[in-house]
Order: sequence, then structure tokens, then C-alpha cells
Amino acid sequence: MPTLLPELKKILEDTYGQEFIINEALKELYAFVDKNNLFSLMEKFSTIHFDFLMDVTAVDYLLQNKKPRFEVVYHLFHTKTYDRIRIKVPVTEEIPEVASVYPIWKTAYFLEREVWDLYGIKFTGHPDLRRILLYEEFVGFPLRKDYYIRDEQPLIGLREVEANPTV
Amino acid sequence: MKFDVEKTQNPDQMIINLGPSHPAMHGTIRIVVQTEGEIIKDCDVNVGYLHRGFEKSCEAATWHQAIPYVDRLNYSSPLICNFAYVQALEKLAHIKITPRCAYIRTILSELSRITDHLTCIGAGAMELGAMTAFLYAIQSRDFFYEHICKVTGARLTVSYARVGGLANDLPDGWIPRLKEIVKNHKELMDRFVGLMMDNRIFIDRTRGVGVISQEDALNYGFTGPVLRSTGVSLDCRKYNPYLLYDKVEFEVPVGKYGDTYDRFYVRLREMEESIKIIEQLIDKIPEGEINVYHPQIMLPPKEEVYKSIEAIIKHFKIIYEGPIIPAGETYSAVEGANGEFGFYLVSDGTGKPVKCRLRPPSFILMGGVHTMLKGSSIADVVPIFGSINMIGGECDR
Repeated sequence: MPTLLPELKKILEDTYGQEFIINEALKELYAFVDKNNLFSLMEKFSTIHFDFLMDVTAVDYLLQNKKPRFEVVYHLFHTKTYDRIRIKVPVTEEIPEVASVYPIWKTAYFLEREVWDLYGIKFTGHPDLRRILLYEEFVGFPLRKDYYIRDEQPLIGLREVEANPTV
Repeated sequence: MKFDVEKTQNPDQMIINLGPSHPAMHGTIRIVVQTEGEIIKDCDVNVGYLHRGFEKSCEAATWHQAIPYVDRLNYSSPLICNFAYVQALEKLAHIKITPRCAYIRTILSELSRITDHLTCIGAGAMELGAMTAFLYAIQSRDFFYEHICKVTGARLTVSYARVGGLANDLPDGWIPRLKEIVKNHKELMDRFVGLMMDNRIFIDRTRGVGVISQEDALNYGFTGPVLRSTGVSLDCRKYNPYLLYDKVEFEVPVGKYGDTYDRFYVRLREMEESIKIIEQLIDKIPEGEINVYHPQIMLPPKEEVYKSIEAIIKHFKIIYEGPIIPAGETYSAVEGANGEFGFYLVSDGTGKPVKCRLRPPSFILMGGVHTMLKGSSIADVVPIFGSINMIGGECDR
């Protein structure tokens, strides 16, 4: 069974010197992390408290008028204690860049490519940041709130078969 | 580095394009493999051919309108997807479902898991040439589909879950017939196991093929049967119990070598455990309501809509503006047939989602499938892929 949230919060705050927040109603633990500290924090997480990367995604708060506009969201999990945490990294519209966690978890190889594909947030240090669900010639980033759902894309020509070998 | 056909100097090296439309690929996926002789040296897995903008469509729809989209994610086990989505919404809106609803959801989830595994092992067997075994699996699966159809009104596109309940109650005579079908399923599975699991040809084609180590599987974020086949006993039903899974007894089957045979074996054993869960619950379904009444989310009863103006207005507002889900965000996971199937929802207190994200187990499996393919021969691509059970709808969303 997972550790009780207040206990876990205390342990984490003592270890990492960073604020962790408990959502009492939903019984979830989360934290806002500065993007400069992200990689070092994740590296420490992966060795002790959270060794499994569940999910990477982003949220666009354009219509909520939240500053900064984007948040990159990581869901972490521990395979022995079953603790979970949500790490939220605010990202500005002007510099949409975060450090890639690919060197720690290879799960990020596809998941970060997807976030780049749909939100246009760059992951520095990712070895092969191509579009994944859409095609290379796609214009714009469809999950941004300023991409209108009925926007049309230009037609593209035929392509040669080519591919990158996986990393 | 890019593959370049012109510049390849070694005459043994070849670049072969498999897919996107290949009869033995489960869904549309393209794999570009670089081979030396018959051995795969390197490969590039391209997904996204079935991308239809699930998240964008959800953001343009109300919370209720997303339920039919959710069916189309994992079309082999649509009920699990349905229940996963409404479970996340119920968590966000603090709704506690009734006991009868929890029983029905658990039983239907397990039925759905069985149909998914039957599709996977049946199709996997057929791709290796075992036509009879395929027919046994598909026969059993179709009995389950027809039986699910009697409750939901559809075989695959069920749209059966509602926030706080279910679309309709179980029909009369459903339980006795389910017992017959389960009995029939056990007989068919005995025949399947007799044909396949000790079969020399099947073992030769699957044992030691497509191996992934435990460390790699965890590092690539694998969950579900593929992770369990490497010997890690991680099951969302055990570590994060939802519905009635903490009240029933079942085992989590694990494999040993992480190869194609183990993945087939784990799926077969999981079906037995599912049957065990169903048999524990089937005679204990309590009487009572299936829906919770929540004025801002549930539609008013149809009789009242026809009689009173207040009920008409409420009905109109819920349909037109969407149910009011409190502002907040949550992640809620269930054990899907292919791994942890989690929804990350963000609400700003209106009837439409800000974000409706699915953690796609198949997509993450595709991120690490090249480690299984490297070093195997071209002929092994199909059994390896069959045992992973990639579902295009959920992988590409």
C-alpha cells in the first residue's frame, strides 16, 4: 500500500528542500518545479522515491489566462511502494523549452516526441525530436488552444521512403 | 543518421518497409527495418496512421459527449475504457457509485478483458498458422460480445457508462446465460491450450523470440501483460484497487523470460483469473439503484422531463452546456487489457474539459518495441507484434 500522503510529503520536503502540495479532496500529491531544476530533481527521484515514469503531457492554459501559458506535466510512480506524484513545470510561450528526461527514462523517447508534436514544446537533449502522430509537413501545433479545430492543412506531395533508426 | 538506400555499400543489407497496411499488423503501423540477410539490425517504428485528434475532439465536446469517443480508443475492450473515463470524472466530482453499479462494472470489465485477450491470442495463433485455435478463441469471444450486446446494445461501440452510473440495468435472464457462456469458454480454452501451448511448432516459433529484459521493460515504461511476462508483478488492480478488486481474490500471473511465449501464457492465465473474479461476484450482485442522483451531472428522469418545466430546463442545460464538473485536475488509472490505462483530466469548472488526456499503454509499448525486434528475423516480426497486441485506436488516438 502507498505511503500516507502527509508522511510522504514530509520525507520528500526533507530530502529535496522543495515544496510539495497535497490535494486533500482528491488525495493526490503534486509539486511545481522550476524548469532549471527539473533534470537534477528527476535524476534524484529516479534513484530513490519514484523510479517509473508513467506519463508526460502538457496543458495549455491560454483560455484561462494563466501565466505562464503552458505546463508540462509528469506523472511518476514507484514500483515497490506504489507512491504517485505529479510534477508540473511551468513553461512560457516565448521560450517553450524543457530539459528532456530521456537520459533517465527511455519512456520519454515517444512521450516527449508526442508533446513536441502536439504542443510545440521543445525538449533539449532529446536525441530525435521528430513529429510522431502527425506528419513532418504539418503546419502548427494542434493541441494549442489557438489552433482552431476546423483549420485546414496544405496538401503535400509524395515522399521518398526514409527513416531514422531508433536510439 | 538516416537510412539511405543508395548509399548502402554492403550487398547483404536491405531496407524493408513493413506496413502501414499489412494484413498481419494489428492496426495500421509502419516499421522500416534494416536487415542483414534475414536478421533485423535496426528498425524505426512509425505510429500515427490512425490519429484522429481524440484530445482535441474531447476539448471541443462536453464531458458527456466524450464517452462515445472513449469507446473507440481500445476497441477490443471498450467497456474498460468507458469505466476508466467515468471513474476519473467521478473522482473529480466526488461521486460515489452505488454497490450494484460497482458489481456490474467489475463483472463487465473482466468480460471485456477476456474478449481483448481472446482477440490477441486468437489472432496471434492464426498468424502462426493455427487456424483451428483461432476459431476456438473467436467463437468464445463472439459469445461474450453477443452477451455484452444484450446489456449495452452494441458489440463494440458500447457507450454504456454514465457519470455516476450506467446507461441501463442488466436484462432478465442475463446471469444464467453468462454462466453457460463461461462454462463453454472454459471448454474452448482447454482445447486451445491443448492445441497450442505444448505444440512443438508453436514453442519453436515463440520461445526465446522477442525477448525484453526486466530492466528494459521498466525503463521503457511498459505495463500490463508485457511487463508481467518479464516477471514483474505489477497490476493496477492490486496496487491501486478500484471498484471491487480489493474484495475479490485473484492472482497476478507473471512470466519468467519476457519472450513471446510468456506473453501468450500470461494472457491465458489472466483470463482464468478473470473468470475466477466473475464467478466470485456473479451470485452476489445486490439489488438496488444503478445510478446516483446528482443534480448537476445526471439527467432528470424521463417521466419528469415530459411533465414539468423545471426538468425540461435542467435536461436542456445539461445536454447543451455539459455537466458541471468542479474545477481541478486528477489522474485516475485502471488496469486495461494492455497496461495501465489512466486518464488525466483538467477541469475549469465548466461543462467542457480543458484537457482530457489518456495515458496510452500501447503507444508506450511501441516506444520500446524496437528492442524486441532487433536481432530477430523478419519472419518473427509478426508473432512478436501479435503477442504485444498493439491497438491502433488507443496507440494513435
